[in-house]
Amino acid sequence: MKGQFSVEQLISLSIFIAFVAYFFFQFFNLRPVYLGEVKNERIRSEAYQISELLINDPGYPVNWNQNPDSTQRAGLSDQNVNKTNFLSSTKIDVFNSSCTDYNKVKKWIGSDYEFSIFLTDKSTGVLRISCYPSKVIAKGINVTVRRVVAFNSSYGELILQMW
Amino acid sequence: MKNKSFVAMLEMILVVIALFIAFNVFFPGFSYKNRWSEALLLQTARDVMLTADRIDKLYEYSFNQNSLQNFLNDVVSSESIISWSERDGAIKNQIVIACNCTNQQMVNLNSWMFELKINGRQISTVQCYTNLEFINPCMDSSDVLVIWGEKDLSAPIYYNTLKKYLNGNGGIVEIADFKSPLNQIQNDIFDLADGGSWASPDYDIILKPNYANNVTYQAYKIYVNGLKGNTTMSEFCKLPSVLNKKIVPSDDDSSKVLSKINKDGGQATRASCAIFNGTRIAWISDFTETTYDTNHTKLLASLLLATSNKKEASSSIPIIRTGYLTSYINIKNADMFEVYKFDLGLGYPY
Repeated sequence: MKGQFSVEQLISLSIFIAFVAYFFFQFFNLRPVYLGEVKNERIRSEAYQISELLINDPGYPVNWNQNPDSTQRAGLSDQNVNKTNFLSSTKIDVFNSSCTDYNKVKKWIGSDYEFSIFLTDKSTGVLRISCYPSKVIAKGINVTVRRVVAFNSSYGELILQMW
Repeated sequence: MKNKSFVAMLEMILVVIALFIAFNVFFPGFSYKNRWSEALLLQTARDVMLTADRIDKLYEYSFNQNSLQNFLNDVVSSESIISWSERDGAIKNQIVIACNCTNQQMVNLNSWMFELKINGRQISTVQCYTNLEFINPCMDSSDVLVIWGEKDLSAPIYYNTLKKYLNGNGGIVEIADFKSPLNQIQNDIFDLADGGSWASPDYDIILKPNYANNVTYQAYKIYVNGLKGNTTMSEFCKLPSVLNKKIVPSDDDSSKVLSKINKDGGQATRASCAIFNGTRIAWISDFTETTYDTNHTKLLASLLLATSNKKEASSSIPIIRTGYLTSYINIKNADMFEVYKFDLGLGYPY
């Protein structure tokens, strides 16, 4: 009988091996899930940051709308009024017309992610900004940030999507 | 041998169970709550407030629930978000007055408070009778209690009832002349004292408070700027049957006096016609005992508006899973300078 396994010992051994396998599977599974969530957080915070820059920053230079080719950073805030959530109507129009060249606007935005920006005038229903890439490739996460803004005596909703 | 193996297997199973439990304790299942939706909800409420202010509509939305709801329907896309609003520091659109007075006095009060307009908005009032042993809640609750006429309030029940009423947000206005000596409650609650005798004045004046934190400041603004009352008016502090009775604040603090006579009468303290004790308690001499005009009725209206409850919610706060209240201090200065806090709440019901 020496050097031989009984059926019970074999069962015990297989239970033990199964548990160890489960243990390692669970342990190494944590890392990618955690990394995925970190990545999602990064894209969420970047989407919020860009929405904040668009709404509450006049851009650089502040009058970039007068010479769009010199734009280094896009921002729609009206520097003359200088109030939060108040956009310049001229900047809105220049930004929208510049969106024919998505890559140029992407450079102004300064993000590695792809994005789309829509601004609707809620009192008239007119779409004031429509900016998105020509090819949209779906990815794992798509973040949407909606902001309520004012311009002139009207108001609207700015929708920023990022993926 | 067989028994030995069986014991080994049993041991193994027990060890595996122990390890499994230990594993779950030391390495719990990974779950990540980002609370992104809550952050966006809070941001949306702030955006809504700021945008309403930028388009000069915040004042309208603060006082008109339908306008606010239409605006929210426009800008808050998600149908699962529910909203509510609260206001603190501004005169309510409708003021409920619990009045301990006669039917005729209630009719008079109603006519004097009819179609009041402050900063472009209509202020309406609703009156209901109350006794002083138990304050009538009127509808849900009253905003100001009026005690009209000289009442014997010396019994402890009155003191307790008035104190209890003041523990809420409502105010108390007493309209009375005193033929009898002042009892203790007039001193404890209304801070009134008998100031001796005085000479005949020509007219009464409205005192402009020196500082914005004076207790008379609100009523002064409402009377002079809101209701456009004159700063002088025909004398009404002198009760014909008790010519020389002079009422003053118990500590002679002139910052508590909104109206007084124009002459000293040879004494340092002039007789007062309207006295405040804090911002929610006021006394005014009964001008109906003499000839009165719209200045007198406006002065009473300003006392009622100034002392009334200024906390109002659009509706009761709904049952929500998560919600945030965003506050905004707004200012209106059309007729009178008015500062109030407007709260907008947004939440998820589930």
